[in-house]
Amino acid sequence: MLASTIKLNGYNPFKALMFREYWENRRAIFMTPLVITGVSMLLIIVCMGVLGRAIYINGESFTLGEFIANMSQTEAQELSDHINHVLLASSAPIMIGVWFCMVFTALGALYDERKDSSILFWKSMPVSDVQTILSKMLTVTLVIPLVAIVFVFIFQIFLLIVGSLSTIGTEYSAWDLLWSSTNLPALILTEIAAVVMYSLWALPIFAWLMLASVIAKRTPLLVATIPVALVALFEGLFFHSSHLLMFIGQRISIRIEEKTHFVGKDFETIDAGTPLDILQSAANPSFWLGLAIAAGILYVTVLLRKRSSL
Amino acid sequence: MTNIITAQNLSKSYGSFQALKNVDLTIQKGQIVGIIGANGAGKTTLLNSILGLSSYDGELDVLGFAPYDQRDDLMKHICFISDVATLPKWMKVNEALDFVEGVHISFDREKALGFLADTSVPLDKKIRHLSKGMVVQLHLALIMSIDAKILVLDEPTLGLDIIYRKKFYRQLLEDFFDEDRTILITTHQVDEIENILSQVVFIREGNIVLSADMEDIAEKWMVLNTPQENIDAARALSPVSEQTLLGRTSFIFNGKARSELAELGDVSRISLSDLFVTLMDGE
Repeated sequence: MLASTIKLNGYNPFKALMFREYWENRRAIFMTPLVITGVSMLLIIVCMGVLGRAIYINGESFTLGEFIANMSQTEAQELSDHINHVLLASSAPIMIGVWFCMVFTALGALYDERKDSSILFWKSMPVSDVQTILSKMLTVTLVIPLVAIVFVFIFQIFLLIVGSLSTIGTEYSAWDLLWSSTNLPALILTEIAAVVMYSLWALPIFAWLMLASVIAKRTPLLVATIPVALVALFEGLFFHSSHLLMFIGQRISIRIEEKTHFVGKDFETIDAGTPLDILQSAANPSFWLGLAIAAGILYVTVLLRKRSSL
Repeated sequence: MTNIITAQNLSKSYGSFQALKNVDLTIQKGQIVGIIGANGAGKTTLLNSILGLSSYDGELDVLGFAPYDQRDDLMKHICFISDVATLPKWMKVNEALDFVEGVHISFDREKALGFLADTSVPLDKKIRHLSKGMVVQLHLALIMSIDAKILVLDEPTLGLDIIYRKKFYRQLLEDFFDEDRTILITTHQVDEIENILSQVVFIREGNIVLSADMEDIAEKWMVLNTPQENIDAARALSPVSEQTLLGRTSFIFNGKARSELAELGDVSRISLSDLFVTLMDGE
């Protein structure tokens, strides 16, 4: 949809490479978030209490409208205060699905072209291996998650609308309860900042997946995971440490949640972080170390792509 | 005449196997060169080196570029179709046109559409849904619309039926080839390209056993069919090979005067396939 509005016109090698990635990975970039969003909306409409009584509290069932009608003033205040966090959390199904798309697109990036021997066609074109790998890396780490954010936004608007409709017939107004405390621009900026920073933090992981995809004779997933598992096992057995797994865990976990705390059933100081807070993690030296590692891995990947012809 | 491809001491090894052994080769502009050899003789290795698809030892200059290190620059001037259908199956025909237009500065989209209009290739279909013949037509249309100096064809007509094969070469000559361009072809169907070649390179076990103009070959190599009584006289002229088929004996000579041979029987031009067999059988 995005590609039909932005057209590829004439000579522009890097743009052509990016389009080529979109054409090949339409499913990961576009269809996956579309389907997850659609299914989530459907689930909410059918199951979450718009039509049926799907909210269970102490053995009683409510529809969403009844739930809102039965809220106390303090509960309503709390909902209103934390509406941004609720919306942020609602992005989880889409972002988790899209994360898997990122992983599998990276694993296939330099493997599929050898499997279907189209690498000979790509290599007969005047584009360098550096450009090719850069276009694939950008697609995996930025295009896929940023397109997903568009769907996340649509889903969040949908939630607000469903919530608003549910306030009809209650003492609460949709404006006071939901919209007045929702800061959509801030929400989107936070999400974009989170996605960009996440991709940069996780860059060594995705670079590693690309390396596996250029090496693998078959099943890049195993090529990517088995050496890591063996080294981690070795490290555990002989050094009784788990630095490698900690490193990977740190890199693939989502940092935005670090500042969110739950005490019992209540939110304590929830601070999901402003866009600025998220960007500030770039001040951490290990952020730059990760980028350097990623650059090293990608350099080797370029050399191997240059060597592989079929 | 300008040399567009110069190889000196070109070698390539895969482990202990030497696919190319110190090959020297020059190819000039405006030639149609057939590279002929048995399977595993080193044809594809030679082409891959020229195309910058694999590393090599020795000197290799293609249009002033070092192919392996400058592949992306070199590919502005070289086009390439290989034996395997290499067009990506998930791509639509339209997208393939867009892509090549995007990366090739000298691609003429109108020209490509013109070629495709003469075929039954549908523009909105994915390549996986085209027949093998259509895929080759599409690839050829894309490539002939690029203003390239060298076209490399590695078994381009493999798996095509005879009608497509004839059409393929006819189109190549009519719509692509001119004196500023050079075509390199490898194929097993030697007879099919014999009359379009201007130069031929025979490769055997990583060595170039013969590289010559077709005219030189026609002058130097001859087939003599002799009647029974002249066989001994023919043998005395030290033929390269001798063959008896259905009671008729024929000899292949290299570098003998036509008049000398004509006294002993019918002299005819050697076919490339006979020359191929002769060269491959010799020591």
